[in-house]
Amino acid sequence: MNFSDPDFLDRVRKKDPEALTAVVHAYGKQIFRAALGAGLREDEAEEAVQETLTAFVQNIARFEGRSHIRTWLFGILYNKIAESRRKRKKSEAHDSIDDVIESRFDSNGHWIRPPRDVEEIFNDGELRAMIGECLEGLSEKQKNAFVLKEVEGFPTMEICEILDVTGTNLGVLLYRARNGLRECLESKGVERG
Amino acid sequence: MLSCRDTAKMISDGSMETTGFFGKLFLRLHLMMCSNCRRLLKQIGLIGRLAREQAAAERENTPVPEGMEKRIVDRICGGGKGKG
Repeated sequence: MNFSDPDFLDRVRKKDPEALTAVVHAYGKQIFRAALGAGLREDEAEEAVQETLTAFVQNIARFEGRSHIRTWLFGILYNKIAESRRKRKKSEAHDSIDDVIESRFDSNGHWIRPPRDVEEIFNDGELRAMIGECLEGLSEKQKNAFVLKEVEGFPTMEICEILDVTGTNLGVLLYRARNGLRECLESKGVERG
Repeated sequence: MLSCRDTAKMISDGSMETTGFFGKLFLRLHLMMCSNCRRLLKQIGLIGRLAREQAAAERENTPVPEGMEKRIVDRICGGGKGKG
């Protein structure tokens, strides 16, 4: 099934049940898993998939086919997740992780406290479990940027479109996310000694 | 010449993938000389790999709810509430 084919998109716009079923079968599971990855519970994730696909169908007339259906669906999903968590949303203007990272360098930009070898302290299984815990410490946007890049494997342009951020903003989000995770793993290593 | 701070930024924000010829050359030269930045590069790669493995394991243990796709199709095609 070619989801970019104009005839297929026309059938989706006309709400042809066969075409809509094909979209649900192609992306329903992927969106469900992405919703789980964004931290929703199983029942919340299914609700998010239903709402995403319902919003997709309701707004299909506005879909011009310039981007991929998948990009559009993920854009809707992440908007829904952001909407439901707006009250908890943290400011992205400054993050305490910036100060933590900066404190590792001297005024000439050389390491004062270089990264420690966490893989010598923990085995892979322990590190994997800790990654899950450390992800919860990131802001919503940092976590979404990291998961879309590293777990879902989306190209940079597509992530920018989904999260509605510029390439520069995405770089800042990834910088903070990766270093936030690294600092978190290292602090657990320090605890172990 | 890149500082360790510049190099850490390029490794972490993804600009090492998009920088031009000279950016990549300076980065490679710095990494040849600096074991701390090499360790950072290795750790950032490790964190990505671990996150993918952890997500794959979690996804395997959390199957898609039975009948979810049918409930969605019923909802969007039939205008019903769907879930429940």
